[in-house]
Amino acid sequence: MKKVMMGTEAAALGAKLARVQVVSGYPITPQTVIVENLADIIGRSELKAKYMPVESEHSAMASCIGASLTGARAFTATSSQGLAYMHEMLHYAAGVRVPVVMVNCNRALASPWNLYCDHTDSLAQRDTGWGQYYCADAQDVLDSILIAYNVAEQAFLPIMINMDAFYLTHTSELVDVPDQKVVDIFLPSYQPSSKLDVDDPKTFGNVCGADLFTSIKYRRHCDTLSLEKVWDRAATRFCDLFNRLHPTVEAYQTEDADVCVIGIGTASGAMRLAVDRLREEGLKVGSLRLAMMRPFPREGFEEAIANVRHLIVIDRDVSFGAEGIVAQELKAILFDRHGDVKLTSFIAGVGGKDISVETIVPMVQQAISGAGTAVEAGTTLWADVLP
Amino acid sequence: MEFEKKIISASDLPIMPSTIGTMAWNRTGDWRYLTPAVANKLAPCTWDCPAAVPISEYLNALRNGHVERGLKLLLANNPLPRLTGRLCYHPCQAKCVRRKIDRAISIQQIERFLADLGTDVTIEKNSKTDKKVAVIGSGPLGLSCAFYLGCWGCQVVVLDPRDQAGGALVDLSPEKVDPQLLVSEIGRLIRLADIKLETGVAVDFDRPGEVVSKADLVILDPTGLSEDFSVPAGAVAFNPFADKTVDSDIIAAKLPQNLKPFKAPMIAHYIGAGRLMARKAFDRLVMPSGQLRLAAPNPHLSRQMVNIEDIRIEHFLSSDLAERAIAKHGTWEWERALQEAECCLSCGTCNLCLQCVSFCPDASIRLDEDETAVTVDLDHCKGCGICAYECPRGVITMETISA
Amino acid sequence: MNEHARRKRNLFTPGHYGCPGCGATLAMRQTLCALGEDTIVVMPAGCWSTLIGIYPYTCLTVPVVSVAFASTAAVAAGVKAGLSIQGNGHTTVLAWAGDGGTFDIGLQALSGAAERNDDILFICYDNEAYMNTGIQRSSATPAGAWTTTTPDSALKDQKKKNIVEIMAAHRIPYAATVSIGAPEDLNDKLKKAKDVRGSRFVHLFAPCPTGWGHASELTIEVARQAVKSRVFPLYEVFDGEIWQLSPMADKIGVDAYLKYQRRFKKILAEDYLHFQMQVDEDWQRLLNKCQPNNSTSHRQGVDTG
Repeated sequence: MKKVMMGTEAAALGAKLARVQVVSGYPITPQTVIVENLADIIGRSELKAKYMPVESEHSAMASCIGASLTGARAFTATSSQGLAYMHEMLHYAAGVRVPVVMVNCNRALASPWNLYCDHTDSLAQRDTGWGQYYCADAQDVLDSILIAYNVAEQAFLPIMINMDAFYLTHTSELVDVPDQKVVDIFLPSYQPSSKLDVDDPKTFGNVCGADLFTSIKYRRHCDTLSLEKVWDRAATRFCDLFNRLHPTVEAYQTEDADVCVIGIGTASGAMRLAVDRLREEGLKVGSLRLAMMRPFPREGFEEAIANVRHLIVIDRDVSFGAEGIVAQELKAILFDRHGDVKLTSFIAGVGGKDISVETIVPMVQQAISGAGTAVEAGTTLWADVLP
Repeated sequence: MEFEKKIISASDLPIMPSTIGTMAWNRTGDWRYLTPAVANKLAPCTWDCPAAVPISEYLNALRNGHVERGLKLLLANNPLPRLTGRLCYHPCQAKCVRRKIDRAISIQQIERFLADLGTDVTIEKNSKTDKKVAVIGSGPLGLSCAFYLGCWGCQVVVLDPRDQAGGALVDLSPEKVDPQLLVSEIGRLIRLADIKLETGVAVDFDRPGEVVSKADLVILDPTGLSEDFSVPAGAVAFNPFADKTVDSDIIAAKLPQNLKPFKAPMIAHYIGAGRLMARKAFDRLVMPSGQLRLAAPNPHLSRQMVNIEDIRIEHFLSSDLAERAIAKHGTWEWERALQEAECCLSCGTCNLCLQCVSFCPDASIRLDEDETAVTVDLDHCKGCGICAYECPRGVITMETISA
Repeated sequence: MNEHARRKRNLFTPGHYGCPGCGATLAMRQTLCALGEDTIVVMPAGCWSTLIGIYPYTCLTVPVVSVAFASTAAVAAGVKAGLSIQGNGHTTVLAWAGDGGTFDIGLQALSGAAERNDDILFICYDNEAYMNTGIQRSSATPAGAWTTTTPDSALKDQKKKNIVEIMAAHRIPYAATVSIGAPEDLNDKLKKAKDVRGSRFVHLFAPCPTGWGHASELTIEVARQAVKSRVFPLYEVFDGEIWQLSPMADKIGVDAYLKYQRRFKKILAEDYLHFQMQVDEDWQRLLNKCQPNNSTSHRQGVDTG
């Protein structure tokens, strides 16, 4: 059934369709509609779940972990400051291998305060071991929550579904809401064999010696790497049932491209428009949206840019003192092709500054010709800096 | 206690960091410097009892409702409890630690009550050997000596020139000792020890009768005989308290000055003397002491006395103490006797209060499977000393024990 | 574990890494004795999270999750939510934190859970400092006590935070103080707490021979003296309003309590009368709050479902 709704409403519906059993809610702009809607959905018994109005995001993640360990499907949502606040618990959740799914609304981190779109918050958490998925539109938000639970509960790893502040959270789009019965076929109930159970008592997470710790981490690393394949398989099954694709990379006209513009999130829409415009001017350019950032979707990425010689990465984030995080990740992946491929790193759109066709085209031109208004800082070129 | 092997392979690990077993394999007992020693010690009452009656043990039996066991304990260690329960000057009560709280336990009253119960119990005895003993004189010392020798397996005959058995006890006034009671008590002693008594038999050593001539050992009891009884030639004087070995086939008990003439309140001393005499006589008759089960006297006699400092009076002050009924004279009812027995602190004797078990931070001192005692888990006990400190009756002490 | 083994097992087994004479381990043992096997334990960083055993082994045979320091009450609330949404309303969720994880870093989550009246039993085993990390002061450390961060040159000025008053202010159905030195009282109160629905808080006094500097065999004795001297009185609070004293032995002076502990050496030598005065004042304040001694004056917590 198709309905017009904001991304946050879609997220709440996704959680409802996923039949989550415990929802922890702490408000933070621009996630608030998610926790508000879920409070109402649960209050009106449209979803049989426990709603916990926790007193902080740290406790939101803590309570999700507790619930998940008993075998309940747990959900929460947050943004920027809240995500940073629960940082310790993100490590913990991945370490204790609970399949919690969390929606994060990508927003800038203080100081100074800024409520608008910025990817530094979730990218700064990429070492925690959570799967990370970045949505393109409201449909993607709803669907990816369902796929995420399917994947998380197979791999026993938590997954973060990211959506751009305001571009997705507060923009209304047409969303096809799937039928609960079909969702139930795709996503059965969560039945872990190992959990907190008085009939099979175990201690979870006590102090571990160095040699065992290494082996545990090794296994976890392997399982985290496997998320790419597990997601692909789940997305394929999802497509069989719902006829929609949610790949880990989304390539646009890269097969014959010399140049490729790369980014994550909603800016990819503008990137595709920019590709169309530039192709009209004769440039063999394509664009790539990385949907999954953790694990890095190596196979899909390498396949998409097999013939590309110049990558132009637009980071809506920065790792201060280094460079754009996505650029950094790509450089690591491309290490063996060093000298073969050129990579230009742009920082643009941070703190909610728009990334549009009008800003992307000059960036591509500057990357190719060397002339343009973006300012150099280390190995990055910063668009949008005031003169 | 099962010890599980440490895991050796990463593939043994579950996906989630959850445990697969307990810590029992970790021998924290290696941390220990001092080890708790759980050993019953003699209560001050028992230590001072001239007859060596295991007082706290039979009080514990009573308290736990095991009347028959208590009576057997008493009868096996005191051949004349109906008499001591009336005559004895009860030094046990003078030493009772309960005095520090309110009053001494009325041990004598309880003993009397228990002895008067007159239930038809039997006590443990060795089977009879071919050793024959003649005891001449049925005073408390002679009777006691005969009783123990009989229990340990000798064929004993007690001979008394008078018509009534009891020796000096017969001369006591009826107010002190009811004659019927005396007869029945001696009768019980004879029955329990499976020995014989012949009264009205004057013994002439120049013309000894069958009993005396066939006896392997003849013992003369001065408390049963008059002062002018002539000690036969060849009879060796034997002081039960001082002399170590019996060196003759005819011995005459020789008592220290404080026990002459016969004093009824000191009856327990005579009974104790009889026991000592029997012990040493038995050694002469049956050489290797390990030969018969009851050869060693009750194990309690070889124990140390409890350290009074280890009795934790504060523990008893703060716990629920039964209301004390005062009864000085007459015989008691069962409820009163039980109440009084319950007030016994059980000094030095484990009564399974389980304070040690409940206060161990390592769950390393436990009630046995058969629930008769507590034992220390030496693989895990860290030697913190809490059990020893918290035992209110000084049963546990911390010792240096080499591996 | 098969059914037979499961029923016959001890909930607390030996071989753990607790110091000889550890009050905290005894506290857990007495607690599990009272609560039984239908219990899930949530414990944060602290003495217990290390002494429980080295992965993959544990000394407790009830389910346990060892969580981040600040999160105990929140994880416990989540566990309870997870259980109840799956239809299990009977399992006791025990949040088991030390004084650091309750009074300091854990206070926010605890307050949040109490405000929501989450159906958890939160027990703080209080050894009055961050013992696991090497005896550093917490807000539960009494004034005048030596710790490594309040050495003799800088003994703690501030009084011990009154955590039960804080929890009572949340109007939770049941709060109480218990001590390992009064095991019957502890057993009664925990059995009572187990059946109350809603947030329950128990402040459990657990001496630490290592951190307090007393002989290992005196752990129970020190706990006893704390109650007798009213340094740690025993009482209950119902619905945050009705304060009721528990039976205790007659009050004695604080020197009987202080004398065993090396951490109070300086106080004993110099000025324990000030300490005595503080204890007397606090005791009087508690008496003022309490109902006249009446064992029928309390009510059970209301089932908030």
